[in-house]
Amino acid sequence: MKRIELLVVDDSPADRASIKIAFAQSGYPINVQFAASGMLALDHLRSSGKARPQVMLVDVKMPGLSGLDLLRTLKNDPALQQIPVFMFSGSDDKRDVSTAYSNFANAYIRKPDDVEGLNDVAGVVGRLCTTVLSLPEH
Amino acid sequence: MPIQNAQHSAELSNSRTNELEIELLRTREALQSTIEEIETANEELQATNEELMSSNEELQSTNEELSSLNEELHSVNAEHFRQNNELMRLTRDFDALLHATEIGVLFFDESLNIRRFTRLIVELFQFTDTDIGRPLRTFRSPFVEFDLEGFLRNVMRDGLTEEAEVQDQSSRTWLLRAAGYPDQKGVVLSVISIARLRVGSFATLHARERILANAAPYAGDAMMVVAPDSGLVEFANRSAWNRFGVPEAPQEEFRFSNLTPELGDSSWTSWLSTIGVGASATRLDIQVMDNNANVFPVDLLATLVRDEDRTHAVIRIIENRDRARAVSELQERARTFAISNRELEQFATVVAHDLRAPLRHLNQFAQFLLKELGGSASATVQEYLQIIQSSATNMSGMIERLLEYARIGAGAAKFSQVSLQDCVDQAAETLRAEMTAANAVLESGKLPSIKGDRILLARLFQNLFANSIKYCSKDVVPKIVVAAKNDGKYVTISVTDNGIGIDPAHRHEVFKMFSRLHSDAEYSGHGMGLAISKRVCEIHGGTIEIDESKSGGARFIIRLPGVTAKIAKKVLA
Repeated sequence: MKRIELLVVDDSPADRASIKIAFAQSGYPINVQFAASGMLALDHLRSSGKARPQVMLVDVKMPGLSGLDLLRTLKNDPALQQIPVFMFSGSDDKRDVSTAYSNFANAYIRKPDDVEGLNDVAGVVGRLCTTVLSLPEH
Repeated sequence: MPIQNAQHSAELSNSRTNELEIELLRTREALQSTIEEIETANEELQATNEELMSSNEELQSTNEELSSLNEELHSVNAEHFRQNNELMRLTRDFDALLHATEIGVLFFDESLNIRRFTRLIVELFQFTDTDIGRPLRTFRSPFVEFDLEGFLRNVMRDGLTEEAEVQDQSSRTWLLRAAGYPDQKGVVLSVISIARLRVGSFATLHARERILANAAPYAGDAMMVVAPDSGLVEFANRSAWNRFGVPEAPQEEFRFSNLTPELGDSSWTSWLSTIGVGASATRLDIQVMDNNANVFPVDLLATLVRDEDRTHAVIRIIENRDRARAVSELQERARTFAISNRELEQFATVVAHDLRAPLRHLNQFAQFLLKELGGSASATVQEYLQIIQSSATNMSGMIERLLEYARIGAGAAKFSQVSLQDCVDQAAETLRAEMTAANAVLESGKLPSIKGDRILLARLFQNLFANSIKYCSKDVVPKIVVAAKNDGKYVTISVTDNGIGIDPAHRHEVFKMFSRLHSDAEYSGHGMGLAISKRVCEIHGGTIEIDESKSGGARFIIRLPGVTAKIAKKVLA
């Protein structure tokens, strides 16, 4: 299995922490990077020094540049639009879901309330990214 | 003989001379006396002349006096003429006043002969113009049990003013007021109708209008008092004049039907006759014509009142402007209500979202902690962490339901023709796992279609069915019966089960948010199912309530508008 670079964009330190734990425990070879806001994510992506993520997990509700704003920006940027974006939201508000897919989100995942659910998500995403899906090269 | 002759001739001449001289003397004397006479006469003439002259002067001055007298007479004449005119005008004014006041006035001389009377007296006493000069006692008094002549004589003798209230043969009440002339050479009698006064004379009109205005919630409405048996307007308020040209105190016949081009007298008299004294009735959307000949619909409110004489209908014209204003106010209120409702829903959504994240963290990190501690944690620590976790789980469940509740009203409802059978089937499908597990039986009769939101209505049945399955004794097979009745206006749906039922004392509470009648140990849940169901019914302009079930279980009665859901749509708009 190749090592996969995953960029998680979430403004909540607690969510970042739990996601980190979940992926660490999933056992899949995934390097998880974090950005605490949409703007920081763009900075990260456009700076040359960082490893280019192959897939992104983006929180929907964020102050400033929201997850959906970030999604639109990414999908409109020829240099970034091929990165698969999994939206990761605390709600499954119908409007958010449809807006996300309309803007070419690659998946929309509901944030689970409990640890089992979170572990599930980490397992599924880990398996998808490392063994199921073909992802763009760095 | 010449000498003789000469002598003789001389002698003769002398004697002739003497004769002539004597004659001359005589003549002179005669002339003298004549002259004297003439002089005397002349003197006399002169005196006469003087007399004449003075006489002439006198005449002249007399003439002057006469002409000045003439001038005076002229000016006196002009003054008389003017005074006469003034007097005539005064008389006319006086007559007009007497007629206008609707007060009968009778003037008598000292022998109680009729000198003058006004129009009202003609009606009352049946006088004609030729009756002027006749004595009062030759006429029959129209007043019963009243000595009119004695009354007038007393007044004349004492020179005072007296009043008396009397009745005529038709039982109408009159106020008599008699005043003697100061020189005791006559008496004047005024006759005033008290009944008329009570209904609408000038004197009481304003007081009555004030009462009406105070009595009317909208003082600006046109109001008029109408005789219910004839449809004649007796008097009206200022608004009736301003808007509809109804005289405040009609002198001529003014009919209420003048205002209503589509409806004649008879339709008003027959309507007014159906209203009891002290009662009110309304007529809606009546076409009336205003001052400017505009015809438009109004509402009428008639109240029947009674005074001593007879009944009067007080008719108030409520212009649709009022109603339109009320409607627009209502719409405005509905609009602001909808806005505040949306804001509230937005608030609930935001709160629910933002609350969920920390709860998730609480839950997850309690688990992480539990795992981290592993076997080293004491039983108490493990128990506490589990309590934190389950509380957090419970709270996110509640927030989930709250969010659902808020979303129902968030304008997402889509109304279309929906088969209730489809909704019931959808609910059963959603609950298939639970129903299978409990061996639950669902029976439904023929269900109609209504205008509604399919998803919300399915949710309504799903909640009710879930309740029926949940609140069922362990050893009983749940049975749910759905039936519907359609009376055109409303569809009444009953959902009956054979469960543990709902204590009548708590029937109002179950529809409240987070209202629970049982502990988690008995039946788990958040207490939002019925609150959401109620909300769905309300969104459809309907109701839900709990009824007695013969089987002892719960029986929900849902009433939803049958044909259209206009109200619900409006609220949501």
